[in-house]
Amino acid sequence: MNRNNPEGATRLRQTDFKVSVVLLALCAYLAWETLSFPMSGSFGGVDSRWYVSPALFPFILLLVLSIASSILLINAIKSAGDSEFFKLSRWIGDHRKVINRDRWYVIAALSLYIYLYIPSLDFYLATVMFLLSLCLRFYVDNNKLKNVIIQTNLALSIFILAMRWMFVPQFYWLAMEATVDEPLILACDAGAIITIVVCLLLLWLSPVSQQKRHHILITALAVPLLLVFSFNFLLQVPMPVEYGSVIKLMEYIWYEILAL
Amino acid sequence: MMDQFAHFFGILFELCTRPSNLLVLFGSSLLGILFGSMPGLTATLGVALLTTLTYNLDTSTALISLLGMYVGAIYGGSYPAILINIPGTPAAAATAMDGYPLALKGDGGRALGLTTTASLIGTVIGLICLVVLSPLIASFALQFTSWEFFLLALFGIVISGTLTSSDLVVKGWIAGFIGLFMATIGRDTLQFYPRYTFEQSQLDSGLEIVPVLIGAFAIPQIIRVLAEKQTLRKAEKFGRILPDFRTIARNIKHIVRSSMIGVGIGSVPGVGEDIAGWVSYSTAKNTSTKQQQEEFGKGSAAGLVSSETANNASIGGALIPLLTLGIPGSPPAAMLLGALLLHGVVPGPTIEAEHPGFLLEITAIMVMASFAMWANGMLLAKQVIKILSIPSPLFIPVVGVLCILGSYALGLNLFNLYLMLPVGIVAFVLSENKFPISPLVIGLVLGGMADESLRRALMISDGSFLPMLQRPVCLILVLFILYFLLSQFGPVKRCTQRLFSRFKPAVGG
Repeated sequence: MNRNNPEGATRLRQTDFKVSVVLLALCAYLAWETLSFPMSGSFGGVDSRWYVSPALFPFILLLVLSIASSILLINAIKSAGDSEFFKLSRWIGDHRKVINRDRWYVIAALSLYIYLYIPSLDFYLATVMFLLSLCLRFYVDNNKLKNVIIQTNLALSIFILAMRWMFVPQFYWLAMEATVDEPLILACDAGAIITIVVCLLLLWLSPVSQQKRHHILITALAVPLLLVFSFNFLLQVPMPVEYGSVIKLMEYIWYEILAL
Repeated sequence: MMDQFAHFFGILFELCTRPSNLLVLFGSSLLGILFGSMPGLTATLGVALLTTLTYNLDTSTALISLLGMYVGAIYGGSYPAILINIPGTPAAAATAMDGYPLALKGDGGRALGLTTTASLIGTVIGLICLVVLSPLIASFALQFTSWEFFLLALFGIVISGTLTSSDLVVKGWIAGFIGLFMATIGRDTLQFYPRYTFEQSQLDSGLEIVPVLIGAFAIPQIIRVLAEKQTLRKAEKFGRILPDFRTIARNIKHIVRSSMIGVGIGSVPGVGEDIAGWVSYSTAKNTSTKQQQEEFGKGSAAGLVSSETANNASIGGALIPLLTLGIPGSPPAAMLLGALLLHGVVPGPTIEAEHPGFLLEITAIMVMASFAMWANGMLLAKQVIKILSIPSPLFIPVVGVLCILGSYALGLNLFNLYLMLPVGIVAFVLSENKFPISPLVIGLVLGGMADESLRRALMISDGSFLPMLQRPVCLILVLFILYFLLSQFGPVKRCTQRLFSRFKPAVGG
């Protein structure tokens, strides 16, 4: 590799340097944390000695990890891997490169879906929003739609947080449990439906081939419906937000109208 | 012996006569082939996703679906390797070397027929080794003490770290030790003390293996495939798929040798099918005549069957340490371990005592899975190929949703999702910097065992490490670990190379 691609090898050593520095810092922090574990004396009625201490194995691992990281660090320094350590683009990637922007976009879409949409919205609506976010960026090569999907996600996120601020006595950024507050879910679902409709309307008005439009509609609207139906009704896996608008409608049709 | 045979056929008959089992078997095998044939999806991911869906099934049916998926996915990787020169799974990378040139010559159907039959033979030979070796290893392992189990876990990390690193070996070790460290999160098993839980009750029981594995394998794949905009070329046209038995018979020595290589490499913790395929391919090339060697890379049947036989034989190999020692031989086997634990089956030397007939049941399921793979491959290959025309920006996001639903469905817990994503992002960053992910996963799986075994052993020896050096198996393991660790450093590396170079001419002559 070194002979064929010296630039790639230098880049690898630069990342090795960063990873080893982060690992060494992490090892130091975790070792400090491990010091609080009982090393001797009695814990929970069990007489503790150093060799049965819950700190023993983590300490050994941290020692080995520190040594291995130091080897990586020294090797990186030997190959001039410590250069450009303080350059931000070396940490988060060059933003001028499309591939780096796309990586960050996927991570952001996943984070929004997992940390914000799933705990607050009906699962179907959250999934449609997530699938639209990825399909409109990566399947349709249209800059306008790419910008629109970023803006709509941003708007929906702000809307959900604003609803939390309005409906919940104590505001929270991260929900450890799925929301059970029905008016809050209803409000968030309404916001999501409007956002999805806007996205679909813009897709319709954009110069995108009919075939691609159909593909996106099937992937973003029909597939999640099938998944929610299979998991909720066939596999009996309740959705994270149980009082979501779509899931309640599906349950009404399944249990009340079809009486299944 | 006859009793065992009768028992085996009894189990096989019972499993085969249940229509629901056959439906699950053929369905999961086909799903496996689809997963394997889609570049970007791997056997591990397939087994991971299916694990979450088998939670409510009984153990036998769950194993039928998981093993059907595993065998099918390893084989399915050969489709795009042959038809579009992109291996569907890393295990099929060596298959592309000769498969694609064959497809270019218009022999794609013949190549697929050869890989299908070679995969079947490889799986069956791997299976025979599993049946023969597992009881021996299990009865031997019954004499193991905590020291042996601790060292086995360490050996697994060191060897998988050494063999799976594509850059510096130390990166493989770091990944393995990070995995071991991740396993220490949660309340420890001896004193019930909360370690690194940061007062989060969800972390008390430790990291859930399945969401972590889904995160480690699926998230990097999703980010990579979408960001790199992987586009597939059009598949080469191919004729009828026929099992070319004459070519198979001509290459029988390559097939048998590759099976043995596959089983051997498969049984090494964390190493897996991809390395088995390459090693077997290069061995087949090195052991061929000069004239045959020239054919390699241009459409050699020997090269094709060697890599395919080895990668499927390594499935049986990977199950040997999994079932007898509780140490997974490959990443999909690690996932399978997670599934077995979900169903209350704890693999290890006492598995036959705790679940009598379990090894025979696994064998029967593997036999069924290999024949289902063969039948699906022979009959449905043309239909499976059509899936290659689905653009990745459409199917990869759906795979993402499946991963998220699967992780959530396991414990109906949002925390599983909150855990899955950061693990996935860390795994992505590490793999982009050439840190192998398999040792990390193996470390996570083996961490609990290593921690508990070490402390139990020290408790018995009253804090002394000396008993470790007084037991023959321990001594061998210590020497192996030391060799692998020291062999990366200059003087030892040079000594080893000099030693091997002395033997080489002797072997050649």
